[in-house]
Amino acid sequence: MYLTLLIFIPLVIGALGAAFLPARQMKWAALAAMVVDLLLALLLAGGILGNFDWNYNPAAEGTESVWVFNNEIKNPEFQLREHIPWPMLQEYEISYSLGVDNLAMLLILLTAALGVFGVLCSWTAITKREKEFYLYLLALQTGILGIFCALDLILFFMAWEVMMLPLYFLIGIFGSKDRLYATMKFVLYSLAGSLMMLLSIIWIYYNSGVSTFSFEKLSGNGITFHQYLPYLGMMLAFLIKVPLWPFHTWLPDAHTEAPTAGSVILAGVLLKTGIYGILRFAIPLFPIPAVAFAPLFSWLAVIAIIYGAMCAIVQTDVKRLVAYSSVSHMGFIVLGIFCFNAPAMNGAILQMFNHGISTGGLFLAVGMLYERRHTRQMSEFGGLAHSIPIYAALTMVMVLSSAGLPGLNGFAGEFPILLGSMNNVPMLIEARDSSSFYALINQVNYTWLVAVLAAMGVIFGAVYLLIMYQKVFFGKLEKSENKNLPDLNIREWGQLAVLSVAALVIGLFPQLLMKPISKTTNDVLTMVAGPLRFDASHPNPELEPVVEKDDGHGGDHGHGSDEHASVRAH
Amino acid sequence: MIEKVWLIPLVMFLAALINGLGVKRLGKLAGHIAWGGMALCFVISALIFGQVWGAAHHDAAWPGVTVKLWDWFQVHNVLGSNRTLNIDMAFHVDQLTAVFLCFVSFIGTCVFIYATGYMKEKHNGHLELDPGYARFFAYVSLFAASMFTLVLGANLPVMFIGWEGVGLCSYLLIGYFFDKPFSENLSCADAGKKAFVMNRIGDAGLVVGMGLLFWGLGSLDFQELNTIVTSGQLADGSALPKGFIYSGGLITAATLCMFLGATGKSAQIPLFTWLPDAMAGPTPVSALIHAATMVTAGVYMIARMNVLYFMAPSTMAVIAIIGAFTAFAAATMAMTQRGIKKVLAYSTVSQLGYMFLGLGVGSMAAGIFHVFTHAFFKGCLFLAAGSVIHAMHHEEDMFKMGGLKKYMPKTALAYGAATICIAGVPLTSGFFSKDEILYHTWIAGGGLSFLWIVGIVTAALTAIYMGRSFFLTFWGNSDRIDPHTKEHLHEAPTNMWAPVILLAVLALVVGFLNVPKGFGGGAQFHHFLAPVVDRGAEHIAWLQSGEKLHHVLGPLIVAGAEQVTEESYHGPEFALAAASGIIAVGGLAIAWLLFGSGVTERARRLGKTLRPLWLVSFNCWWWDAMYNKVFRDGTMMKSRATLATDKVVVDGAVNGVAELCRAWGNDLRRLQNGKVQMYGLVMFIGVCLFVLYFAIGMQNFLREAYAPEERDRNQAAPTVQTKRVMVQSPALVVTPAELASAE
Repeated sequence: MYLTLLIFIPLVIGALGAAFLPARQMKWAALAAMVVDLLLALLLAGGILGNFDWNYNPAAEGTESVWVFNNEIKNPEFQLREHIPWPMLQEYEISYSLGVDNLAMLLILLTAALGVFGVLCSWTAITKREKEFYLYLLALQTGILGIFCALDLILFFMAWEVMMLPLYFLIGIFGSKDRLYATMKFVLYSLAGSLMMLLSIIWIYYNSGVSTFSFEKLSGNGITFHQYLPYLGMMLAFLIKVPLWPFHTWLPDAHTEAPTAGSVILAGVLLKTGIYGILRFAIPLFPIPAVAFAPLFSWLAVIAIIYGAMCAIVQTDVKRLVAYSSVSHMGFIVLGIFCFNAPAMNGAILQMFNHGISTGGLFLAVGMLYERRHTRQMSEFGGLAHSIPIYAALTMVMVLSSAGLPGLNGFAGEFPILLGSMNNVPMLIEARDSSSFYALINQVNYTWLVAVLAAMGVIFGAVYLLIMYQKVFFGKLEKSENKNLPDLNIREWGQLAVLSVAALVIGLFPQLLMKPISKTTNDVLTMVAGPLRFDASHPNPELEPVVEKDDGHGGDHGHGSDEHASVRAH
Repeated sequence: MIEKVWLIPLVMFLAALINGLGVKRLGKLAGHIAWGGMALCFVISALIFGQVWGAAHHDAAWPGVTVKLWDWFQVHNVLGSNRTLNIDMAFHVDQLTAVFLCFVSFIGTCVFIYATGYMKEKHNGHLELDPGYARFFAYVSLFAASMFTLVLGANLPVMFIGWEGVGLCSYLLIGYFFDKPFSENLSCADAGKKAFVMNRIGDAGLVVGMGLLFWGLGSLDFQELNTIVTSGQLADGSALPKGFIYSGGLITAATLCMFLGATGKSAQIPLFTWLPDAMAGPTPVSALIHAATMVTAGVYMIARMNVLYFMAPSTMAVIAIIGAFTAFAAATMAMTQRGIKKVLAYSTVSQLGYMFLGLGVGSMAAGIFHVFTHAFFKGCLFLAAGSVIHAMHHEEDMFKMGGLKKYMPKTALAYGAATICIAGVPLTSGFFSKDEILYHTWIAGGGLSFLWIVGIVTAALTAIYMGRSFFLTFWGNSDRIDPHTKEHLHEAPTNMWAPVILLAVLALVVGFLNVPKGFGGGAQFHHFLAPVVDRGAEHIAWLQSGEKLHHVLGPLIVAGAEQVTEESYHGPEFALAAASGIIAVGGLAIAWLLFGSGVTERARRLGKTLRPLWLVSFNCWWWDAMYNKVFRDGTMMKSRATLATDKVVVDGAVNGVAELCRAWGNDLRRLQNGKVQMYGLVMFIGVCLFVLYFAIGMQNFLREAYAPEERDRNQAAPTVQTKRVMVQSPALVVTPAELASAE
């Protein structure tokens, strides 16, 4: 019941509040819901981390012996399982099935925390239709939390769609000038992706041989789908949400037009649902296509890094700049995942959390500025460090965190990604065992170049952030409107200060999150271990296939590939 | 005390935090907190230095002490390779660290005390603190914390915290006067941004280098790397692949990438153009960050990783060549600058080039010694220049100064002393350190080499331009000074002149710490550092024979191609020293002839005769203009193009699909136009299609009814079942045909 409680508290309190409270008090109900949710999430994190073995060492578990084609794959160990067969739909094996592992726990924590910020930053910004606004915000929270908890493909799909509707209204009603265009684009784009995902899910149901929508049964059965199309269909939905170049164009529009709370949750959590989907469903269900397409997605990721940064350099709108910086940062995360090694993937998952803090913080900061001046054009500002110094200082911390300054959180994620992406530099492969399939396709696809280009992305990151900071805060304080701006009040100060402290703590002690993450990383990498080592020309002598003759079959063995074979180490 | 070394960065970080939080309330206290903290750090550093000295004296092979604070990153790699990313938040103290700690904290203390005087302005007759007084001291304290972290880091990533931290503080301090313009087309904020971005370019190289080292050698810890490379064994016991060493392989690539980082931080070609613009910051900052400490980080990094660099002779050659070239180029640029700080900035670039020349020819200790002496004399020069600028109401143009020795005798004395040091007049510190580098260049090049010639020419240029700046500022008559400014000219207050004089005295004498053996000295400085910075040289056989470096530098050698070793070259040491001594004094004399009494007619004539050269020098070889055109404007143009592509092509495709759907929808909508005739027509077509369909179906039915044997044959065929296939085929792609054959 714990996860159900966690998921539905925002929606239930929101509905009750909307039904019984006057509009003015709605924000208090929303705040209460978010805070209760945050407490539950903290309790959840505490419980899971309390049971976590901090000396956990995946290398000692011996994944070397795991071969993807036999049934030895270990499922991620989900905790707080809830499993209720869906009434009337048992025959399709659809169930209300929830559970969390370390990855989900981390993202739930982030979601719950940013939910509180989402309410706080709307405190005075939203003055009309308050009931609706907070109801949508709370419903959105429910949808997102559902995504992170769902272990049933259909349930996941439902949560995925539920998440979209409140955001449609949040942007469409409470956004700025071009809100209708932005929200329509966002929803239609996302729907196109979800349609592909739905088709893939149905395909899985009919082709898995177990006829179930339960993720655990599907992945735990050692099932690997070799078909590329369903994988790509599923990835399309996730990549649109991430968003990866070239599916990113909805993002700047949606971000720019959304109210501050919408932007914060959109950037902080919603984009991560895409990455979460890749890690939870796409890779474990389709390990072979995942490996085969990894170079493609690595290249798209690095294009996103550079392209997003370059678009950000020439923006004139602060919020749009931050939105494009998101494209760049999400590119780093996707790159980290498709490097398929532990440092990069750990870094990528940590970076999901970090991006929530730094970009969420930047959107909060932009929102505070917007509330004061009702414009986001950089040319309208300048010299603000004179008039609102505390705001300038705290924004600086967020900028530096986003730019990946060592000692702050951005670096703690970016550095392992960059390090990991250099795994396939040719001069290293020469010196090492080059018989792995992945090394081979990486060499053919020049994926090692990706690492160098990604490192260049770090330079661009500094460029656009510093340009933005300079235009807004430095220079002469010329505009009279800017001279008497009030500096941060305690509510705003608190939001940015908490995020700043979090940035510093994660930057200095990334192990706090990295260690639990490494468990998830290990789970995912175990899934792709087989395809990664698969080598057509030089089979690894230690991993010779053991062919078990299946004599029980009376049928025709003419082609010989009917034999039930499995490969085991030694 | 060594185990408590983390106190040093912590103290400064706390000072920064207090100043930062109390930025509005602290007032004068901010400066005291900062310099007090720094003095405390100096005391701790001195204690540590004593202990290190004792330990090293006791045991020649003392490896230093590593103080581990906590696990920073720990990732066990499970696939692909057995590399474990294991990075401790750890500090390492050995001889090199101790030297850096001491001189950074000492010069830091001097500069901080000076800054408490400098950061005040006279308003209406009484001194007022600069409006950003506490902010300034917060930044410089944070800088000190970062710098200490940089030199203390036990591994590359911890060093990188400091590395980027000093870059950040440099950015903040260059842009300290963020609302003021610096030159006609550059604001102070622009200058800061430029510094940060150029440093970032180098840092990207450093990160790539770290990646290569991690995957190649499996560690980023300095001591572990040393062990791995010198023993040829990886941490897990396997042997280092042969290709890693000597053959232009991984270590060369990694060291070159990290050298790119060093060129960014230490302002070498190609990433040096930020340093002259960094003079936009307050002068104490220029003295501390952009002369004495931060910019030497690149030299420190290479000396720290000397074992790797010695393994990569090609990289060493690149370092030597870039160092020599930068030294020369920057010296020519300094010849014609008008701003007193500009001259000093180019001079810093040039001196840093010397340091890299020293590193590149294989004498890490000589490079570090030049870092050490340079910190004193350049720190003194900048602080003295700061006093002048302060007194001159922020006038930096030397052509509007002159005869200042009358008004500011103490400052003039200090500036003069530091000038003879940097020029390399015999028995001053600059003489000893620069001579050491030139001497080693001579040895490494096997005699008269191209690099040595560049070095000695640069020494002559140095003497000339430094003499020029001294004579123009302090000598001659004071007619060029603005009369209003002249009325207020005064010697700097005590808290400003005292540190300057102290640094000047030390600049004159610290050279005696490292009197070469050829002169009958003990070369104590070199001896003290040798266990750390000569570790690579000891392990590399080729250096002893001089063969490998010879091979690499071969094309550059002009004469004297016979094999040389250090022992056989004590003879020329005197001759070389005499040559550089004569050149230094001669250069100063030339400067006096040209600028001894203002800008003389001689100087003007010379400038006219050598007009093309003057233009090249004054415009700094057009480096900046070229970079602005190619990189800055180029990036902006490409970015605009990218954004346009985004709008038109990528978003165009998305909106295009939407438009397409809308258009189809519009077309289909026309079907529902409310005309009964139209509906009737559609209905008629539909009925026709139905009839056609059933007709075909009936035909099939009739055919089956009259050909039963065919039907039986169809039924006899085995039914097709779907079944899960365990694929064993080596090919990953299972085509439908294969699947079908599997059934």
